Amino acid sequence: MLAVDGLTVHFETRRGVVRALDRVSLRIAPGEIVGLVGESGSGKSVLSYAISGLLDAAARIVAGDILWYGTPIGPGREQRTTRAAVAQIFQNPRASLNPIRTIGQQLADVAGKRRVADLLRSVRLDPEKARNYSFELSGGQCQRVGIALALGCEPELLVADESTTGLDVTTEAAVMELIGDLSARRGMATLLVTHNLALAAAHCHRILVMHAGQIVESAPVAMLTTAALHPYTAQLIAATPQHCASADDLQVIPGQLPDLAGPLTPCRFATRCQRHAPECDEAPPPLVAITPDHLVACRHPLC
Amino acid sequence: MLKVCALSKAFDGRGWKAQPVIAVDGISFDLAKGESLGIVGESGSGKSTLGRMISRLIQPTKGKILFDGDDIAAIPPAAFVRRPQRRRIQHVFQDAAENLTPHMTAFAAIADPLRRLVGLKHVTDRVRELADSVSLSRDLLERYPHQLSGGQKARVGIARGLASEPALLILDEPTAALDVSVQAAILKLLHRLRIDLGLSYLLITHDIEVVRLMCERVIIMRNGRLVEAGPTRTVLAAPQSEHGRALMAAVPRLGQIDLRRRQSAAFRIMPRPPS
Amino acid sequence: MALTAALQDGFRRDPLTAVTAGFILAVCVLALIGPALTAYDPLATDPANALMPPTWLRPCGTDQVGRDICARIVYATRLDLFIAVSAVVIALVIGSLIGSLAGFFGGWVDRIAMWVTDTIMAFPLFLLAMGIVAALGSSVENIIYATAIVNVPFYARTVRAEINQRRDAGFVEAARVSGNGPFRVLAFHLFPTTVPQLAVQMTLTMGWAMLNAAALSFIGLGIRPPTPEWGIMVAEGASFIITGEWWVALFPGLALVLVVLSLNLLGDGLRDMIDPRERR
Repeated sequence: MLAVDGLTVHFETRRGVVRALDRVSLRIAPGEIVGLVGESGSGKSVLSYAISGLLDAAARIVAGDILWYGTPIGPGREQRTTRAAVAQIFQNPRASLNPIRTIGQQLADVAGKRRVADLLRSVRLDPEKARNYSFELSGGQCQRVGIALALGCEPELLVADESTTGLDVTTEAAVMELIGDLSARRGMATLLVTHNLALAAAHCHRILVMHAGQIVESAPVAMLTTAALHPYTAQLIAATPQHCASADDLQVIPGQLPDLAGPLTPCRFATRCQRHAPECDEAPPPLVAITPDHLVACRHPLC
Repeated sequence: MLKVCALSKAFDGRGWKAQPVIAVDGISFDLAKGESLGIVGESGSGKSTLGRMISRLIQPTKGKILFDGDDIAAIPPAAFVRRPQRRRIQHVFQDAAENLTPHMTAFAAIADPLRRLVGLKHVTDRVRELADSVSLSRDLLERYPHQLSGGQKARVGIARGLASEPALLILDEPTAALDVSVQAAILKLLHRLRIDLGLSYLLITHDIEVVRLMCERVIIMRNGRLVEAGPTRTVLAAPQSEHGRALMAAVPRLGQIDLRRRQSAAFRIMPRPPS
Repeated sequence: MALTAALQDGFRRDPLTAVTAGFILAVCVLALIGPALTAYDPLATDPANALMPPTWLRPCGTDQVGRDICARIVYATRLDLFIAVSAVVIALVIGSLIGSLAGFFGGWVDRIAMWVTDTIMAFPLFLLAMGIVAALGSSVENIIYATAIVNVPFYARTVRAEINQRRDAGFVEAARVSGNGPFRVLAFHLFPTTVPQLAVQMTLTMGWAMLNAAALSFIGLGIRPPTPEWGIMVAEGASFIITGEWWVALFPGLALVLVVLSLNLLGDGLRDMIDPRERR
């Protein structure tokens, strides 16, 4: 359904050219819930914006393409030539709603007045809330409205960009459950962009791990959590509190994220990797399928 | 060392609603020397307010805070600055908030309590020592907050908190805005410091996994009230309170892919607490 | 230092502001050393050469009693700049004090401070300045005081708003925990954050202060002749425009316009440079 092929995006900034994405490739099938996990600066937001067609004018597509059912669509707002049924929900739910208009009015803008009540019911909100303003609702309720707005477009792909960051754990669980349920009932695919690996593991079918603008691993959830192949993924798991018995067991990933505007090694994890070898510096590691579902971009994966 | 008795805080109502908002309602607990206590709650549970009362930034409406036997709740915040207890209780703030004065370098930020609380005149050596103890490289000391990364700012905040050699450190969401790898480094640092320096921690957070790693005991707050308290292992494995159970069930687990169990737990959660 | 680097970066991106800043700097230098460089004595009268049009030797011509206008303009730069800067500095100090205390402590301190500033602002400002000078007498000091009083409310409000906004910020609480009493927190942690906005306010006020002094002198309430001052020179030269001696009023007027315009543009440019940085 959605295919991203070798997408490379650069941003022109005052500091120089920021190479935000490097040969990113991924596939999303209809109805699939895919997690995109990465730390800040990994490029996951840039990728999600590219897929939604919201990229800034300062972004330059240097190579690659985004294909919707085989047809190339542009990643920028102006470049979007084909209507792709992609909707997005954002991180700060209150900030994505207009504070001076009621929920009902905003939903009506997207879906027409007659569908407002149905949309609210489908996100498990009381249709009476259509008369409320965003400041009268809690964070979790605002995010449900955000989901309703996205659903109003009848999307085939829902992009959730850090949509539960900042919400309480219980609210987050409820929102994620709602997304999972809607996804199953409507056959809607979801791209869940988050820095929380555990969250992705709990709710997605498949996870893509990104580091410094490159996709380093793609695997079904069970395989990723039990048998991660890329050193970065393994270290990410080892740094997660849930994985450790005590604070002493926490592993710190050495080094720092490379500066995307400065000189970069072909494998962008090379400077922080303990399995680094001379051949890692020759060319960027290709995304190789170790098993049909499990892809790794590494010349020395953990086997 | 620390004993909190029936501590409460009511804020005056704002705007249309004239009723006072009860942020903290009758919380009691104690903390021994060298112990680490976690305070867990969702947003609006009052945990931050509780932390601020104990570090004497806010005046409680009712209750006592006994620190080494003295009731410091009786001392108003403005006067507390001059008391000897000020240097023994320090507070490390949530790193996402602008808790570093924007026009002061990291060096100045760490030197501030040294000058004010410890009364040191020549601070350079001690500042460098503190920077080393939090693994902050010395050349970062001349930078301003906007030139530092999240992890570096967190380290400066911790170094500042340690400057007066406190006995009790209140940590308010110390790793909330940090990436997983940076969070791991900061948590390890805090853990090591507690052991090396014999500190007591009051760790306020919404993240249960952090509490599991860092705290021996935990209390769970909801709507300003204490709903559960006990050793961390016990509470996390078998929570007795309904809210505790809801929290444990809602936390996404890395190895657990059983969605159905979490779904049903999430829907037994009571309606949203009033804000 | 961080500030100079930030300024350099800002100037590179906004050449107009850099040009105006350079111009103001040149004017300041002129005020300092200009009088030593003029060929003619600004007060020396030469009736034989009265009302001479501009020539190469006398680029601005002479006035009705034969004084060299160019020299008078240069000397007046010093006076006008002195008045503007003094008034602004006094207004800044008093206004910041009032605004800081009002913004930080709130309550009755705030109410009294705002009552005072509101009262001042209720009057049309130029009329108020006129009234003060008329009451106290025409002298350079009184012009400075009048201008300063009239400008205090702007500084007070700016500082009050900035401090009020940041009063509950994390770094303020951290400063209190680090052992700073309320006055230290206000002076060392909160007040410096208002400096960028104050810098903008200062440049804008300076232009107005200069115009104020010139206007007061124009209507005869300010500086007395024969002291060279741009306002007086325009006033004296106004009557000669009709008879065709345009240069007597034009050149001092032009000097005034250029300096005030530059100050305003500089203020705007500084504000643009500073604001985005604030919203980090």
